[in-house]
Amino acid sequence: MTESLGHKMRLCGLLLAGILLGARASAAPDLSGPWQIALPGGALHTANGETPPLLPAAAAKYRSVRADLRLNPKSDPAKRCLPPGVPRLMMQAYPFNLVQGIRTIAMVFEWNHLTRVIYMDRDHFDTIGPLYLGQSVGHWEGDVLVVDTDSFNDITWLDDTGLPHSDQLHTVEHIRLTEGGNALQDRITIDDPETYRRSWDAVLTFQRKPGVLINEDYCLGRS
Amino acid sequence: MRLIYLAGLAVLCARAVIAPADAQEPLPDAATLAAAASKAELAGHRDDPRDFEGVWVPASGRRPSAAAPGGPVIDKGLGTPPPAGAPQSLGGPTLGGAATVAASGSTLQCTPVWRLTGAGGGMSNLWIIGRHEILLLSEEDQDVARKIYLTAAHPRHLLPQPNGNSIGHWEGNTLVVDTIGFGDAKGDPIDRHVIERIAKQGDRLVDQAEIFEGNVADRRTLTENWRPDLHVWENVCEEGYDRYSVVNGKVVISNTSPDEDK
Repeated sequence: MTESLGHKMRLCGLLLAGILLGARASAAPDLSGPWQIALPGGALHTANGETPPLLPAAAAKYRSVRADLRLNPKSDPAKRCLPPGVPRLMMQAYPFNLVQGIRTIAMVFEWNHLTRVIYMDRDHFDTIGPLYLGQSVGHWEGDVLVVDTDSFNDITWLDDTGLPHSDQLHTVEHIRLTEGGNALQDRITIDDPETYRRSWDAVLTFQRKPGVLINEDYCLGRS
Repeated sequence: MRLIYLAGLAVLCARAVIAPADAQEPLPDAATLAAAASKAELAGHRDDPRDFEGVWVPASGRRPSAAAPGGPVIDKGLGTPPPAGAPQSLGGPTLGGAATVAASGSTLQCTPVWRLTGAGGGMSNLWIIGRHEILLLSEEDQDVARKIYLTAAHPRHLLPQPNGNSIGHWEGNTLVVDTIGFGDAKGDPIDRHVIERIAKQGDRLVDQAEIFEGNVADRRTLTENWRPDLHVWENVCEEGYDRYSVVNGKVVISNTSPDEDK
């Protein structure tokens, strides 16, 4: 009995200590403020600098899109003001503001005043979408913001060159501060079995832009 | 909040220690407890008078469609169709059995229009995010995102823009927001100054605004209800190719792509 009581007390002590340590460790870093991609636009490569592992049909589609793009730049959906999608939106030569809330984190882009919202207090919705920017949920793993996004449509491209994806696209991002808080690294795992032979990682780096205001940017109506 | 949680945990532990073995429920593991702590912490913020985060819908009921739970995801222009199996009419069943969606309204033009409170004007849903920097998102008028910077002063050189430049500070639990620097869609300045006092009153958000335009002063009070069951999704306007943007500190109306602009 005494041994059992001691065991329970030790267990409770360990739990309390764990919670205290966990609470200390869970102090999320402050990512808020203006950011901008270090190297805007261009082609998205794997983290090793390789060409993404397109399946044959997707590779053919990519070639066709690039040929169309050369002939008619406005074949690019983003040039019709449609949201460029993820991660392409973050790769534009425009700043975005990270607004860090309690239950939500928002990426407020200057580009056509788009906003990407990450829910921090729930799992994915069961039935939402398809959406241009997908639906994102996040959580903290230490000082890393992990963002899981699904429910994409297949209208957008992964980058400015027309790198395709299907509506089966699923991304997981590990976002962390680097360079003493002056840079933000986003390692994106791209999983899309209809488009790529295997999941692959890309790494984007954003630079902090102190004092930069996010201007208003709109596609105008014709009427 | 952490203290309350730890006190609760201590009570649970005490119960586990003193209760007869055959009456005990199994102790949750550390991960479960940590998750519970997180949820409890989040719940605590819902009682915080300075926590405006969430979806707010007009108390006036002037936009019932926007406030209807269970509506479909609606896009404008060539936007995405609602998902297969999703309700096609407003006020339909709850999506996925868990979340409901505040359906978008129907704005036929993609032009920026200023209205009080993040283009809400008391008529549209409002989504507030953040605390140190506050973001007001309105699902109407193209998801206008209005930013309130919690800084002491406006920037020295302000470019006139449709939603102006908003700075805020707290007076007790009231957020006082000062907005200047308004401009029209051509970038011409508008002589408008707005001072808002925004506070939670229970589950309501009350925005008392003083609007000074030229020599005319106006006062308005807007009230929106907190709706934690609603979520606002993307709302895309793809009407035209022309673009209102800011290039090198000037408003530019162009029909070129934004990346070509910059």
